[in-house]
This record gives sequence, C-alpha cells and structure tokens, in this order.
Amino acid sequence: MRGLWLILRAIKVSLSIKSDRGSVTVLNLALLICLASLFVTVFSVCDVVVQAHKLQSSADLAAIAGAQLLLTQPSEVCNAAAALAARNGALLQSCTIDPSSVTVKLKVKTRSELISRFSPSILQEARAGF
Amino acid sequence: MQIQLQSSATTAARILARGENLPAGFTDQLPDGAVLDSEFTVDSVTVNLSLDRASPLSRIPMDIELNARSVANLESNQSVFINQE
Repeated sequence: MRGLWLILRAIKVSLSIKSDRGSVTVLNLALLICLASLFVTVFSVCDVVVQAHKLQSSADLAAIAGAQLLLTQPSEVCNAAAALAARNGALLQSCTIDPSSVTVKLKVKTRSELISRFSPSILQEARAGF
Repeated sequence: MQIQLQSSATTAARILARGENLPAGFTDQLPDGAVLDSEFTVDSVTVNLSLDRASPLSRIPMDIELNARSVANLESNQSVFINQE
C-alpha cells in the first residue's frame, strides 16, 4: 500500500514539473534582471568615460601649472602641479621634469563599484613645456 | 553632455587664466540653459558650469543637474605648449 502511494506521489511530482504554469513569471524575472544588469553596466562605463575625460582636463591644467615654473622655480614644478591637481580632485601619481617640459600623471579612484573591481583607479598623463 | 560641459569649463579656465576674455561666441557654443560662473583668486581662476535638464523619460518627472568645475593657475606672459600623451 505504501509502495503505491509513493508511485502516485512520484507521478504527481513528475506532472507538476512538466507543467508550464509560472514559467512566464520566471522568464519575466530573468528578463528584468538582464535589463537591470545592462543598465548598470552602461551607466558604469559612461561614468568612467566622464571621469577619464575630467581627469585628462585636470592633467592638462596641472602640467601647464608646473610648466610655468620651469624657468623661474624648477624645484616647485611638481608641487605646483600636485596642488592644482588636488584642487581639481585628482592625485599626482608621477611628475617628470625635462629641461624644457614637465610630464605629469594623475590618478583618481574609480567611482563605479562595478568597474573598480577590474580597474580601481584611472590614470591620465599630460605634458607641457616651452 | 557632461563631457561637453567639462571641456567647455576647462577651455574657459585656460582662456581666463591667460588673462584673455572669453570669445563672443563661446557662450553660444554651450548647451542651452548652461550657466557659466568664474571666480578669480590671487593666483587661480575657477570656472563653474551648470545646467539643469529635464529627464529624458517624460513619465519620470525628475530634473537632472549637471555640473562641471575647472581650476587653472593664472599664467604669466611666458608661452606654454600642451601636448597630451
């Protein structure tokens, strides 16, 4: 008697698995998750592009600020570049002085949590001189 | 749009830092409704550009405010070139 009951239950379970009931909800949920993931990815990439563009502008201005002191105060070139970089929200990563030019590399932390897993910071470089 | 604002703010800061006035057509190139504000200190100039835009989705009544800020050191008469790498 118990064996028959187990067989009937197995059939019932089998039938319920084959049923399509509720599958649309699952598909909708999967679609929603895919769309949300796509939106977050696109938003994150756009944010990094904007950040990189702003950092390049900051690097240009920092290099110019350093280059202005090349002839008069060469020892202050990198300090001036670092100070202006900080005022533009960036950090001076490196500063190389040639006789006639200065090359600066600036860094900022990646804002996007998603992208920061792959690239924790963004770097941009600029050179200015005479 | 944000990139355009940032480029414009940096360009304006560089022009003002050289001691020049902004060209007459400069503000015409900015997006409609953009507000440019510049502030001079002893050794630097700060340019702020802001723009209020309505949400691109009409069903979501949310205003978006874009801001771009750029600080440049005031330049002397020495000529300086800039070369990105």
